[in-house]
Amino acid sequence: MCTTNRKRCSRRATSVGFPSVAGGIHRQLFAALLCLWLALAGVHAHAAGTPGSTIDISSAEATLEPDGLPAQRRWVQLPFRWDHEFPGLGGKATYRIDLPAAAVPGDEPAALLMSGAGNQVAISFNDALVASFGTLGVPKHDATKSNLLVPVPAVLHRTGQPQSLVVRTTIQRQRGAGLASVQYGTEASLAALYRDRQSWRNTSAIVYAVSLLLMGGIAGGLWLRQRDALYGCFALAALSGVARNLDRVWPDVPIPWPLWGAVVAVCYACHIGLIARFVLLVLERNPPWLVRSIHAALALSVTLACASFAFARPSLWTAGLVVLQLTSIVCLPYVVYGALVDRRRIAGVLMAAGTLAILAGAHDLLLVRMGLFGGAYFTLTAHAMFFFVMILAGLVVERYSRTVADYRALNTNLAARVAEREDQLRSAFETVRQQNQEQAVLLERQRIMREIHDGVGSQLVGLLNVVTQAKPDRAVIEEHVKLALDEMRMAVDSLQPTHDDLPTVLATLRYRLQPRLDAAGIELVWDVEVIPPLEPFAARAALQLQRILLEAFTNVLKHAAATRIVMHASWHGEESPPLVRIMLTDNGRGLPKAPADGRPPGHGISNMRARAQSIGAKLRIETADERTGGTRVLLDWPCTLA
Amino acid sequence: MTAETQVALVEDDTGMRERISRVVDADPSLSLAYSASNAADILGWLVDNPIDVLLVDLGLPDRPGLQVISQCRNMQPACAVMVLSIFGDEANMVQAFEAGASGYLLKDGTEADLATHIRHLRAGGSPMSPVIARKLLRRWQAHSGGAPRQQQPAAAKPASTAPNASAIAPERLSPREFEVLDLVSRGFTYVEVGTQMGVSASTVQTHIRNIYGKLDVHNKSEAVFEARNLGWLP
Repeated sequence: MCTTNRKRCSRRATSVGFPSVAGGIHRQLFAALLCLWLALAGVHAHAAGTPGSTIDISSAEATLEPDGLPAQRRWVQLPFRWDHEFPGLGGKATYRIDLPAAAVPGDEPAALLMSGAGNQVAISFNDALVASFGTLGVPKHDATKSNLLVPVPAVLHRTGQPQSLVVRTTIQRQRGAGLASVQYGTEASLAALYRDRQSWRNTSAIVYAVSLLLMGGIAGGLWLRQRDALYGCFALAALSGVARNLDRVWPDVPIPWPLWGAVVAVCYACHIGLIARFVLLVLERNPPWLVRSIHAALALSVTLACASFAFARPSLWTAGLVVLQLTSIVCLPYVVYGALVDRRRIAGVLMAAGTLAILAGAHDLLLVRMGLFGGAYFTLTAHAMFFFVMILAGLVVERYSRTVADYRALNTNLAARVAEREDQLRSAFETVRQQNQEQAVLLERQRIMREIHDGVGSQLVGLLNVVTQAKPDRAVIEEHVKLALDEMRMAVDSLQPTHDDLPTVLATLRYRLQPRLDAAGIELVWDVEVIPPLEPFAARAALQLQRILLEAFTNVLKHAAATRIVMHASWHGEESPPLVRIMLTDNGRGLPKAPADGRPPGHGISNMRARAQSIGAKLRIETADERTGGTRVLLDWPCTLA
Repeated sequence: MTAETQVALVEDDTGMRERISRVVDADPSLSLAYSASNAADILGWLVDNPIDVLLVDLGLPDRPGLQVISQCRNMQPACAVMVLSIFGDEANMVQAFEAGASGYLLKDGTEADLATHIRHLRAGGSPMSPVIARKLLRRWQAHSGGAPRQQQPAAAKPASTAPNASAIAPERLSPREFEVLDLVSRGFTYVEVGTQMGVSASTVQTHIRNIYGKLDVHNKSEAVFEARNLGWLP
């Protein structure tokens, strides 16, 4: 597999510019990156080491038969890379190697371990076919993707002479064929080495592929829900990165070569280009020229990849990789700026990952693909790119945590505002309540003032009139004084806390009047039934009632010459509206005849009517009995219960 | 009555004091033994001079009239205390009754009846206005745990339904006493109350006196305890 390259760049950031909250996570992420890198390096070192009881073959006699060119037979140094010798050509290659006789003790099972042989391989040991991988000439299988462990039966060993090894291969163009290494030794030691290499190669590829699938899926889901370009970009990058990792461990891809080679290359180009774009999105630094450059580089490298495989020109794909590598390098300053100047932690993490990826890309491009600086066989880009997966995971965690924190803060904020509003409402309510109270006090004060003014006040004015006459009538003065006192008592009584209780209001009236009735020799029959508590506002009206009755009693005392008064009060809840009925009946001389001059009836009676009207009561004054005379004052007062 | 009723007076208003003095002096059965204008004077005098009736104004300049009532009740339990009340202040008289007063007079220009009232009091009668009766009814109803208002006194069972609602719950009233209070609060005279209840007017008077007595903390054991604390009782 060809390959190489990569990279990213960028700066400024992203979404995420999460400052301090994010700090811890980023530090951890960075530490994780380092650890992983060290672990990878460690595995590499281990895989490269070779147990002592094996021998490495460094050269082979090769018969090379590239398509369309004459066959040649010569010594080649291992690792041998066909694509470097015959770029864009398929063909056949046969390697003959003489293995030293004493390499393996005769009584121990021996084995061969090869890598990078391919693409289809048949191995003969001392002229006996010991293994084949794929069918020679049939491109379906690609043996270069795995290490090949070939046990050699002891019976094939020729004691005392070199062993003859023949490796025959058929090769498809641009498929990374050749012969990387051949080791010969005891089966036990090579089997261990084989397991190490395979597990390293397979495990890493599978882990990367699954991680990319998973994170790509998550990012895709996030993009579907949030339509955030950051997630969409990463989802595409991750999913396109899956192909190459799959290709590393999948020898029998059902898609024919070189179509599959083009697919892998295109995916790889997308992977690199989109990761670079992703970095810019994370940094939230998206200068249009750079974004356009990335898109152009992506399109160019994809085109070059397709052309390369279509026209059998490996150099085109190499050029595409160079384009991607340069693009990544151009982005790097933005990341560095974000990390060092803006001091953004996410930029620091991206800078670390991006630098590693660019170095890995350069390594793969220059050493592995171009074979410069001594060449290299293992590619590193896949490992470096994996860090971006972790960065995205960190981003998602970070964003989620920040969102949760934001919601909590919002909730707290809302709760505080609700509490604040509650306080405002409470104080507003308190203000209203206070105003109502003040209003009530004011109204009551006005009522008392009116009470005193209309009652005691008018009596005293009348008294003043009498007193200022030339010859005041002593009896009249006394009468006025008594009336003034009555008025005053009435006003004071109206302030009693029990004034909302009608029976007590009536009883108080009697209590005040009884001495005068006794003095006048008038018998009072008291017939006050139980009356339920009335609505508080009706209490004010009770005072008017008291005054109407006082007027009525006074009239009896002054004018009626009665000997008996019957006071009757009852509750009629069955009426609609419910009412209190008060009936005051005397046995006096009855109503005076209407004055001859047609004047209205006495001042007192019109006062009574006015008062009755003011409380919505109906007042009737009538003759009690046609034969015996007497007067009846009837008052129906509609009111509601408390 | 073998001897004149000895009356003492404490009242800070000079005019009122003189009017009362005149009325008492004018009545052959009454004798004004002492007249003070403040609490200190009357309390000092009471130490050595037993009397039958003390007239107290609640608004004294030096100490609350309620204290005078209370101390007089302790010093001279046989002495009846009457409050001189301004008109309309009956509703506030309950405290005075709790302090030990057994009657009251209104300072509203009707002092002419004063002698009659004092004689009444001596004879065991106590006046009660409808407002006071209503106040007392409410007081006891509140203490009996919100018992329904008594519209039908005959049906009321306040004594049996009154739980100890508060630590200083007053002594319970009997159903008859409740009935008396209810009728008085509705304006019936003692005679009419007696007729309605089928008892004599003097029985009604007795009920009234008992009701006042149940207000008087001096009739209770706490009062005795208090008196012992003060050194007034052995």
